[in-house]
Amino acid sequence: MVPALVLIFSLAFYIRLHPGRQTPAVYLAILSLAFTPLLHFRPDHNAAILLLILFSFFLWLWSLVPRGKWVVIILALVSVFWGGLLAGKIVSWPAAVDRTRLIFDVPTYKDAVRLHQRDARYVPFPVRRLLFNPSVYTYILGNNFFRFLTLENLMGSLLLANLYPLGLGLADFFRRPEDFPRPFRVFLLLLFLQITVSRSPDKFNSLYVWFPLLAYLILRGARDVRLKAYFLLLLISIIFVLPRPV
Amino acid sequence: MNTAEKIIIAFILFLGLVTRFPGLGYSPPHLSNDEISIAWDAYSLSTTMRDEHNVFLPLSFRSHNTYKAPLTVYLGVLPVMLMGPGDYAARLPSAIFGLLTIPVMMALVRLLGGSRFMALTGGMLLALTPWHIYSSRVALESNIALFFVAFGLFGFLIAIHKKNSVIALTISMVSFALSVYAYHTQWIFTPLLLAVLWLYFHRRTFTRPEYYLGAVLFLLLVSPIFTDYIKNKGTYARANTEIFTHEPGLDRQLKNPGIMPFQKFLLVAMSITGNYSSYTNPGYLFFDGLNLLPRGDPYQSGLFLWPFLIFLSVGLFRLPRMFPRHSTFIYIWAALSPLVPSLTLNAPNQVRNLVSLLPYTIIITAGVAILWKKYPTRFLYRAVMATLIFVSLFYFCAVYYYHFPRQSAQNFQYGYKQMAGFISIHYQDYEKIIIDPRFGDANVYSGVPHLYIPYYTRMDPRKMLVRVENSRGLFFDKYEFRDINWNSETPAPNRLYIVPRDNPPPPGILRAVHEVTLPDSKTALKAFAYQ
Repeated sequence: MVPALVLIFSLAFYIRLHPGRQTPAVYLAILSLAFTPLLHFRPDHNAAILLLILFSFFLWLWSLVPRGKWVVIILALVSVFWGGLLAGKIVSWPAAVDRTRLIFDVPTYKDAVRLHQRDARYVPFPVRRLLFNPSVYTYILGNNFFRFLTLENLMGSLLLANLYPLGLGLADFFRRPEDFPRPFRVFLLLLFLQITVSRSPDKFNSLYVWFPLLAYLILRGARDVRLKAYFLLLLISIIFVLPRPV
Repeated sequence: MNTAEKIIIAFILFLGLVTRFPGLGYSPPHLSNDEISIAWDAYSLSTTMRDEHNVFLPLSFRSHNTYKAPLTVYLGVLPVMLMGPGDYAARLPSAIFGLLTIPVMMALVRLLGGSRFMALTGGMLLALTPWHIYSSRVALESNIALFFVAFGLFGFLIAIHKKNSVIALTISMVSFALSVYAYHTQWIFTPLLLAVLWLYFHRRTFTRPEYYLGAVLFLLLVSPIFTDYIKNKGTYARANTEIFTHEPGLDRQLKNPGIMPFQKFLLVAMSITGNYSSYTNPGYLFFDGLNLLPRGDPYQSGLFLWPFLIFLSVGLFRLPRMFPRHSTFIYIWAALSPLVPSLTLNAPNQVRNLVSLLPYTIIITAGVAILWKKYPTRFLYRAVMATLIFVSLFYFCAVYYYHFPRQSAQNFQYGYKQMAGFISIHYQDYEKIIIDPRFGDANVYSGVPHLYIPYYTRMDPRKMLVRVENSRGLFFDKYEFRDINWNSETPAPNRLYIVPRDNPPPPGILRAVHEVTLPDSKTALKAFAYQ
């Protein structure tokens, strides 16, 4: 029931923004989206499921209403933000932050900063404090995000085949961001932040509430894929990913 | 080529030189387990023509629980003859071939259709890439193999461009064959790359007889090493020890009779995919893959400087624009490179995956060129990018040349070289030198002092050939290499005991005569003699 609802709202959102005749690859993408393991994942909190449904619904509503779009988008933002924190286990129900799950409380990072400040005798101490300080967290956040973006994580949650249109959709976004719905930049920034601040982001928990957004990117990218290659990848995905051995 | 280009090339080579050659004996802080094995075999060959295990001019060098490809050892013979055993002699071939890879890289970019600007950028990027700097400064086989792959490809592309030049093709095939002798990854990778080249340039390769002759030449040249492998199959070949199916979890499941063959096939496929994924992980490639510092240290360096990630992302999507004729080949090359390392244990391993360095650098080069073109007059953009690269390079240099030798010395079995200095002076004072090979906290690791001590004391390798090895330990000359249990040990005069810091003798009978400390001031080894 939940996957069907979410998929329907996500498709409705896409079709509202891109009406007219769709290419065969888009239909294939719809089929593959129905099979994505992420859609069938069940998070620990039921509230996260509800917030996912709400997020997909608000996205569709946003595409539908002619006025008051900003109210709808705020509701969508709240639901996806809260849902993301709940599904990612960064907060426990209803809103207590679990600091042990955040990247900022790792003792080894703090110790390393102190150690390098003490050891870097090739520069005077004031310069050492400039070189080795908590600004290293920006590097850690970047590392955390890109460590999450592995083929294995993305394949496991979205299917190998969908990485092809997802890549094209993202490339399209970075090339022509003005062609995408305005709130997209904020959504992607939120997704980035949610993955980065988590100490050990999990492929399902971290991406769960973001399914509608990813589905949109996949459908958007599917318009430009080579049908044969996409079909072949889908076949491989079905053979390799769906029947999970032992 | 105009004067400005010549100056830039000279500058790039100078950069390659200063990042690869100075302080070879200082960073990495000590010859590693694998390096000393190569260095000793080169030293042994230089005087006896036999390796550590008394095999005459072997094609596969038996090392600690594994086997090494031959070319690096044979290339190490000349430096060790000229300079004597030491850190520089061991690491010099790798540093030289590392430097030589830079001009070959520039030529490759040009031959693949890149502009002169791109060729220079490619050379500059390679000269500054932490992965290549690190690999060029250790005596490992993969860096030398990388050069021969690059040079082989260079020769092949010359042959294609210069109307099937037989000389270029011959050089190419010899170089590709040498890469097979240089490292085990190339056993599969080089034939695979050649197959791709043959298919990609099929209009030439399938129609011209010289290419068939080239293939025959390659097969003839590599046949001895494969014959040697087949002869010794199941006994000592490295391919039998490093394959991914030996991963304990997978191995257990594959041997489980309750799992159907199709499921086993899926398990194998998933394991390879998992390994491939870890080799292509952007976090590993750009943030912490080099693993110079202890685990959890946020100042780790990636295999590439992290701003290169921006260029790689752009280059990946826009490669066809910068290399219109050969972008497909570059894509295939980049996708193929991590495949062979993915078939081995303990992924990701930066040494095995070094073959990916060149295609990734070419893609990064394309990214730089695209962004440079896109913002031809924007000073701010160039200043920001230059600052980011400079800052990340500064951190890499600080970590690599200063913090890494201090914090990771123990991983390189630091201390044996320093202890060898003490032994050299006092060799005549003792009848027996007993060395406990364990080291680290609570003696968890077992080292190879039986190679370090003779190498740095310049012992005659002939003495090693008549060694005795049994369940108690290893014995040659006046050395005994064995675990020392002080409860059963009976110390005697004229004996020198060298033990790790966590295995000191009971107080009373023996006295400490020498101590070696790690660069972070912890004790590494201690020498004890009779009171």
